[in-house]
Amino acid sequence: MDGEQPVDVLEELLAVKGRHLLRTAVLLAGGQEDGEDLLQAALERVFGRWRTIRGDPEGYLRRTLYHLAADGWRRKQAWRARLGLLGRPGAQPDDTGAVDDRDQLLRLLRQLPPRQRTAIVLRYWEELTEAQVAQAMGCSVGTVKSVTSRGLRRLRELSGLADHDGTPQPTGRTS
Amino acid sequence: MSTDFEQRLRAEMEQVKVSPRPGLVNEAYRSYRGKRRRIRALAATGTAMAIVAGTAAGVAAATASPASVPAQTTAYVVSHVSSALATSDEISYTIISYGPPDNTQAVVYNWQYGTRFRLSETVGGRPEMDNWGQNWGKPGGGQTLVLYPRRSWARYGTAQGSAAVPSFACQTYGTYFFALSLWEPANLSSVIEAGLRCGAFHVAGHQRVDGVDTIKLTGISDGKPAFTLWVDARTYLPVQMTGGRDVMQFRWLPPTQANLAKLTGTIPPGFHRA
Repeated sequence: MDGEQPVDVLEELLAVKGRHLLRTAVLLAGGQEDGEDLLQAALERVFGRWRTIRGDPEGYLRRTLYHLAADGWRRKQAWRARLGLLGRPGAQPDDTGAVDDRDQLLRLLRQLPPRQRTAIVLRYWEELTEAQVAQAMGCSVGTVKSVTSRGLRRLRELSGLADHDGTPQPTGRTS
Repeated sequence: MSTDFEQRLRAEMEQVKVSPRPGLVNEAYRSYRGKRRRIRALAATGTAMAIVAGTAAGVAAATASPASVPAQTTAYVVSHVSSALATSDEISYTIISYGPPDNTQAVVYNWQYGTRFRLSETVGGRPEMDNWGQNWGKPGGGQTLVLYPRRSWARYGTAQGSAAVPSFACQTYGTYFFALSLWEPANLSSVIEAGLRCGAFHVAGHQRVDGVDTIKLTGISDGKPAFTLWVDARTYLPVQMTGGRDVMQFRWLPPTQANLAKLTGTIPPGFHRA
């Protein structure tokens, strides 16, 4: 990528793949606004490593997204934890939150620990193999299997699913 | 796990609404450049180096010469630490660094005095949040929260939030410690005391940290050494705590006017009320 301006390259990349990358980030973060912040954080990392990136910047950007998500990126920001505790001031609605709340899948995903959420999004949205997920998350295939299994089980519980009717629905009822 | 469930999960992921924000790449680039500039500026003035060096020196010093303090049992030390935390009349000032010292490192500054608290955060040297108030979760309490990324601020009463330290299993205390410490600033001492009550700490020797003679307590979580707490061998107040790459440094400040003023932040001009 010698001689190419990183802003131009990444602008072009996002023009083509932006919606898919943002959807991945939104799923990994569990919300639209947090997803945008996650994607921005990953882009900043790419800028920081631009000179050392060899080959495909999209691959590096994706790996960075996965690493940040699995690493509990949001948890490290104290103000997000504080906002979660405080709720919203007064009764003023927040449009972004309202959109997120309407999206039951995001609401359920937000309740999973970062590693479970990351494993599930990588397996079922990014459609990576267990080995690829293990590489992206820096763990063993066995760990991916167990984390994914626990995450799916938790999603089913949260959505009020039971095996008894044999027709599981990912986001039927919310707890 | 049902294939049907997985298929529906995929389908619902496809349906999640997203609306790409225009100019995200440029925003990221500006933010990256800004962080670099701030890091360089801080390093030039020595401030950043002092923070980083302080952390590094603390950890390095912790591995240096042991002090000539007589051996004490864990129960004795734990009892004295609990007592010191309960009776201290100083302002507790804590600096918590999350992750390696690079331009993504989050640093949280936490002041506590009686019912008053302040918690502010920087990421890569850039202010992210400032939160101060008193009587969290109690009648007559309130707090102000300033969010720099959103250029907004808000005041909260006491109806929301909780003063209670959330429950946790003792064997996973180490995993939760750094998250717990952000839960309720005025309860930082309670968080440490909860660990002491759990039997999560064990005396592991005596060391010097930042020139202070300390007693080193190792925390076990899930059967493995997970975090370390150093307490002043004279006052029994915490000096430093580490867990993974996260470092928490404690300072105990006398309640002078100047130090008490640090418990209140300011709302930057131009910020809007949320």
